[in-house]
Amino acid sequence: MNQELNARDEELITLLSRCAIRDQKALKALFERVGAYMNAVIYRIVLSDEVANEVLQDAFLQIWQNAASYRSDLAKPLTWMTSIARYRALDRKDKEQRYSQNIPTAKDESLLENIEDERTPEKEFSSKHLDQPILDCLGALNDNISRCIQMAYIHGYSREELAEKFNTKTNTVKSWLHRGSERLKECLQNKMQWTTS
Amino acid sequence: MSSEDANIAFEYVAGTLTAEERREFENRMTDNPELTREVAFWEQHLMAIQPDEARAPQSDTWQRIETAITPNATQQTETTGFSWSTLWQWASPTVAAMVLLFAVIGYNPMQTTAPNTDYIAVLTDTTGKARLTALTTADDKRMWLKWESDYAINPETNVQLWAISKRDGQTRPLGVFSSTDVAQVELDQTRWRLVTDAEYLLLTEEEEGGSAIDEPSEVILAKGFCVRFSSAERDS
Repeated sequence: MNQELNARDEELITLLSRCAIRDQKALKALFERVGAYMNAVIYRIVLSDEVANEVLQDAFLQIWQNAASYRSDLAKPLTWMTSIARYRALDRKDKEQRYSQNIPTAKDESLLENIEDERTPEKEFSSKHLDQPILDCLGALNDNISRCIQMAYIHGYSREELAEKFNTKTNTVKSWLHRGSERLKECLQNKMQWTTS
Repeated sequence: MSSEDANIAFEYVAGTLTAEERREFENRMTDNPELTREVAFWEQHLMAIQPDEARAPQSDTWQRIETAITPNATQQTETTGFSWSTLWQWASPTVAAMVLLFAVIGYNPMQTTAPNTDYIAVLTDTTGKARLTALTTADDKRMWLKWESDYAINPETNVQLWAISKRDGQTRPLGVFSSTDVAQVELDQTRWRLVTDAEYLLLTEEEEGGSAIDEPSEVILAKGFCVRFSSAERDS
C-alpha cells in the first residue's frame, strides 16, 4: 500500500523509530500526542474510563514492544497504533463480558453519547487528514449493512449484539458483513483506480 | 486470496471476530504477507470513519506505563554483559586498524564533498587482527561487509552482529550470518537507526539462527568502534 506521509506522520514515525531503540522520551511524546485520541477510540468500545485507561496502558506497552516491527509502507503510524488499541479493547470487552460483566453492553446507548468532543491537537492526526473514499462507499451500501459495519468498527458491536440490534439472526449479520466487505472493496478499488488514472 | 480469507480479514478489522477467532487469525497472519496486506488495506480505509474525538487519559496512566517500561538497572548490567572498563582492551587495536583502513581507502578529513561511506566500523579480535569491516553507504540504506579472507565461520554455529547504543548502552541485534559470503545487508529504518546510534559493533558466536534470547553470547569474536565519516545528518 503506497502511503502519502505528511509532516505529522513523519513525526510519529520518527518517534516510533526512537521507541524501537528504547528511547522512553519518544514513547512519552507519542502518548502526549495521540494518547487522548486513542483513549477515545478505546472508550467507545469498552464504555468505562477505568477499563479504557487500563487498555490504553496495555496498548502503549505493546507499541513500545513492537515499535521495531512497524512498517511505514503498510500503515500510517496513527493507524498502526490505533489498530493495536482497538484489538486490545476488543479483547478486553470479550473478557470482561464473559467473566465479570464489568463492561456495559453496547446496547446501553446512553453511554455512547458520553464522549467528550474536545478540540485538541490530537485531532490533527485523525481522519480529517485522510482521503475518505470509504465514506462514499459506505453511503452506497444498503443502510443496514452500512450501519452494521460502522457500529462494529467504531463501537465494537459483536455479531450477536448487531443481530439483536437489528432484530435479525447472527448468520444474517455475518452475511451482511461479508456482502458489505465485498462491495466496499470493489468500490474502494474503483475509486483508487480512478484517482491514479 | 480465497473469499473466505478476505471475509475473515475484513471481520478481523471490523472487530466482529470472537477473541479466539482473532487469536487464530493473528497467528495465521504472522507468516502470511497476503493476509497482512489485506488487513492493512482495511485498517487504513476504515480509520477514516473513526470520529474526531479525544478523551483525556487518567492522570496516572503515563506513570504506570513509564514504570512498566523502565528496566531494572541491575538486571540491565547483567544481561548486556558489558562494562566500559573491558572495552578499552579493544580500543587500541581498533583505532590502529581504523588508521590502516583510512590509509588504504584514502580517507581525507579535509574533503569537502561527502564520501559515499558515512559509517564505518573495523571489528578486530583481541589480538588486534581485523576480522570484519562494516560500512554503511550514503546513497542507500545498506551495510557492506568485508570479511577478512582468512576468517571462516564454524559450520556448526552462526555469527551475529550487534549494535551497542551510545545513547543507553543497550545491545541490539543487526544480523545473523552463517557464512562470510554475505557482502551486504539491507538496513530497514530500525536497523539503520541502530547503526547511526551505535557506539560500537560487536560480533559474537551464536547457535544456528542467532541468539534465542536476543542477547550476545559470551563468545565475543570481534569488536569495533563505529565512526561517522560524513557530516550530513541522514537520519534526522
